[in-house]
Parts: sequence; structure tokens; C-alpha cells
Amino acid sequence: MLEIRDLGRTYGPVTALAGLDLTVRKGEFVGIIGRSGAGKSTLLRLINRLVEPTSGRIVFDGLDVTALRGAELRAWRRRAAMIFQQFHLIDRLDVITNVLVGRLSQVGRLRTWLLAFPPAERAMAVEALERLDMAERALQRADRLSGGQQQRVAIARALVQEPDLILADEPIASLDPLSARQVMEALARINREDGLTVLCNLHALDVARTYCSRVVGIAEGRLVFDGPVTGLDEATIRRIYGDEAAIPKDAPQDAAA
Amino acid sequence: MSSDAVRLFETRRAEQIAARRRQTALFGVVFLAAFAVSVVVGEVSLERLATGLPRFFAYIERTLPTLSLATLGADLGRWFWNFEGWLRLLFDTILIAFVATTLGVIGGFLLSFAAAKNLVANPWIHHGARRFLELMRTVPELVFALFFVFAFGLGPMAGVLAIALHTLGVLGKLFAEINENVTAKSLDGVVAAGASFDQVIRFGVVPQVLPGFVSYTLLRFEINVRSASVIGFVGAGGIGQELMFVINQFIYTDISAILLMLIVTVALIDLGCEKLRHRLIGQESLK
Ligand SMILES: Nc1ncnc2c1ncn2[C@@H]1O[C@H](COP(=O)(O)OP(=O)(O)OP(=O)(O)O)[C@@H](O)[C@H]1O
Ligand SMILES: [Mg+2]
Repeated sequence: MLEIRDLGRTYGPVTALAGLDLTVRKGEFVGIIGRSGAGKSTLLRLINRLVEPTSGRIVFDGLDVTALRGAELRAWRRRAAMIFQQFHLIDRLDVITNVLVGRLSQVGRLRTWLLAFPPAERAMAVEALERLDMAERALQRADRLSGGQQQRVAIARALVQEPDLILADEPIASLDPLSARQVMEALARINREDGLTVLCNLHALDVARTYCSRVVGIAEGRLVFDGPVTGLDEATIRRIYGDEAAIPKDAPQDAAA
Repeated sequence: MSSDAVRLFETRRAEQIAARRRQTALFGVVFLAAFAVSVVVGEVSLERLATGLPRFFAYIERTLPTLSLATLGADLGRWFWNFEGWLRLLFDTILIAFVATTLGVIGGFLLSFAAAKNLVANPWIHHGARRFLELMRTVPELVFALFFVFAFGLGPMAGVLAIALHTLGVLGKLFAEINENVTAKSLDGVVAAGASFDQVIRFGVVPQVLPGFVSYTLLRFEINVRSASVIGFVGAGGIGQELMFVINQFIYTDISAILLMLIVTVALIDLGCEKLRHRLIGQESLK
């Protein structure tokens, strides 16, 4: 169980996130929605500790995540796998090595420096790729792949981390509709089959409606909605996206950032 | 509304351009002043140039042997009487450059990560690394070589160490600057997976910066071959030591023979390195 209490982060005068409380149970698929600059990315990056909080606490199954340092922090990052809008793969390395980045915290230093991962690790990476229909491309350079394929490689990287949580930051915002569907379906399948908790930032409301059991709305760094998708009526949507956003009834379709 | 924004933008832009002009003008004035002072202090005068230039050419002429078409083979043989010996010295020189470049690259590689602001949060570490690299860079190779000849005696070891330290200073800084241009994207992806600092370097940084590192290393090797041939002047081994000897002993034709071999060797190495470098860069742009 992930418990977030009074979490806040400021950048100088800018408040990216303030006083956020959120509890997520194991196996939930939570969609986080909000307009650009609302603080969605900040929230996920805080959970992985890519960003330090200026206030509040994050506790996971009794472990105080905000207090972790050094090796413990790295161990936590392995458990809270991130997926990024821009994939964040290493362009000049092949797909399999990119997936094996997810195993770095489990493999000896010298082996990682020589890119000499043990066969068992390689097998694990290939199997993860296989689940995402990407095993064929294992030996290609990552920058030769399409956006959707790169994102599936990034999901494979997250999978081999053997995480407890998947934190997906607008995973489909730079993808075409078909690739977007493949990626969302992959996340849904992992959530279902592995019982992994998924927190997913989304721009498009209809995507949240299709895949998320629960939706969290953030506006100007504050939580303004938390409930089942069915609770998303027009008034709530206005609260999340702001009044001046004249949103048609079935919400912004365009996933572009 | 929008015309307000345009007006605001235009005033700001004009201010920016004016500021830049002022800066350029100031720079120009400073440059001219510095140039004038240098001319006076350095005793640069056209008169001296006019009297000195003929002497320069006379010296070069004196080093050239007399060759005649009839006895060309024998003449050349006499000119390059120590061809094999000099070749061996040239080879020594290249070896000095090679070993020194290798050592310098290793040191520069390791320090470049400590000297990159985006990789090291602790300001003490990256400032410390920066200052150290600066020091290694600003001390001329010849000065290092003098120290090392004093410490370790005459011979190539002093040359190797001198060039290696200077190379470390130069490449460490250049490498650090490449490191600072690494995109946060590739770093985030690796950090978020729970990698340790050295693993972040290995995966998030090294693959991206390696082509640049290789290119600078080859360029530096070219430069080091030239340095290695001069560094012998203070007794630090290689062809330079021999060149200094024949100059001091006024063995004129030997001077031209050695210089000719040196120029050809350096040119060949320059060409080779350049070819290799361009091939590597070409590969980059193909990506
Ligand atoms: N590194 C940073 N430095 C300064 N300000 C930042 C930084 N990161 C985020 N912010 C600010 O914090 C606020 C929240 O940013 P965040 O990236 O979390 O928004 P978001 O909801 O993910 O937006 P988007 O949908 O556009 O990705 C914004 O106002 C942003 O400008
Ligand atoms: Mg974002």
C-alpha cells in the first residue's frame, strides 16, 4: 500500500505540488489527470525520488520512502519503476541492453561496466520483451525503433526491475493512436496478470475512462478529485481542467502534450 | 493585447541587441589596446623584420645539401647518412606520444565525470576537479618536461609524463564539457531504475559521449606527436633530442634531413588521424 501524506514540492516561487494526500492499494490502476503544469510529473518523480519533496512523507508498506539514502534509495527506485513520455532509452545501445538497465541494481558493478550480463539476466530481459512483442528487435539499436516500439522496450525495462509499482508519466502522449492503444493495453495486462500497482499520468480523459479503475485529478498542485471513473461528471472535469477550458462533453480526445 | 506583447518584445529585443553591440565594441577596443601594447612590449618592428628575414632564409639555405643530378643517389645517401637511426628515433617519438596520449586519456576520462556540473552535485568535487585540470593545462609541456628531466634524468620517461599530464588537463576539460551536454533524459532513465553513480555514468553518459571522446583523443594524438618531437629539446627523449644536438653542433645538413623526416611523419599521422576521425563523425551523423 502506498500512502502519501501532505506531500509538497516548490521550485522557488512556483508551487508544483502542495499538501497532497493519497492512498493507493495494491493492484489498483490509478489514472492521474490534470492540465499541463498541474504537477502530475512532479508527483510521480517524487514517488521514485527523482525529485526531493519540500514537505510531507511517502510510505510504502511501512517503509518511509522519503527517508531513504544511498543503497536503500536505489533499492526503492528498483521497486518503483518509471515509464516516461519520451521513453528515456539509451539511443546508441541495443534494445536488450536497454532492458537490462532495469537489472543494474541486481548485477555486479564490473559486469555492468563490461556490458557482460549473465545469461539468466539476458533470458529474463528477452522474456520481458517477448511479453511486449518486441523480442524480435532485441539486437537492434534503440533509436532505430518507432516511438511505440521504444515505449514497449521501456515497459520491458520496467518489468525486469521486478517492481511493486509502475509509475507511467504520460506514456502515450507522444504516440499515434494505434501505438497508444498497444502501450495502454500492455500496462493493463501487466496490472491484471502480475497484480502490479500502476499510477499513470494521462492527458486524455477517454483513455482514463477505458483503463483506470480510479481517477485522481490535480489542479495547480492540489488534489481536486479522487474517485471512480464514473464520478467524472462535467462539474468535476471543470474543476480539474479549469473553468476557461471549454471542454466538450466527451473530453479532450487529443493525447498530444 | 497582442500588439502590447509585440511592443514589449521589440523593446526587449532592441535592448538586447544594443547590449550586445556595446559588448562587441568594448571587446574591439580591448583587443586593439592589447595588440598595440604587445607590439611595443614584444619589440615588433618592420625594420627588424626586414633585416631578420634574409638571415632566416640564409640559415635554411645553409642546412640544405648540394645535390647534383649526376650523383643523386650518392648525394641523398650522404644527406640521410643516419636514416635508420633517425627512423628509430622518430618511432620513439611516436611511442612517447602514444603512451602519453593513452595515459592522459585515462586520467582525463576519469576526471571528466567529476568535473561535469550536471553529474556531480557536490560543488567541492567538481570545482576541485576543474581547478586541477586547469593547472595541468596551463603548465606548458616543456616546463613539466624540465622538471621531470631533473627528477628522473634524461630520456623518454620525462617526455611521456610531461605530455601525459598536459593531455590529461586538456582532454579532461573537453570531455567534461561533452559530459555536460548529455541530455537529462538518458540520465533519468538509468537513475530511475535504481542504478548507482558509476552505472549511471556507464549507461546514461558513456554511450552518448564516446564518439566525441574518440574524436578529441585522435586530434590530441596528432598534437602530441608534434609535442613529442619538440620535447626532446630539453632532453626528454625522441627525435627532438637529436635535433637539438645537431643544431648545437652546427651539423647543417643533418638539421634539414631530420626536419624533413619529421615533417613527413607528422603530416602522415595528421592525415591518418583525420581520416579516422572523419569516418567516426560520419558514422555519428548516419544514426
Ligand atoms: N525542474 C523544475 N524547475 C522549475 N520548475 C519546475 C521544474 N519542474 C517542474 N516545475 C514546475 O512545476 C509545475 C508542475 O510541473 P509538472 O511537470 O509536474 O506538471 P505536469 O502536470 O506534469 O505538466 P505536463 O502535463 O505539461 O507534463 C510547473 O509549473 C512547472 O513549471
Ligand atoms: Mg508532465
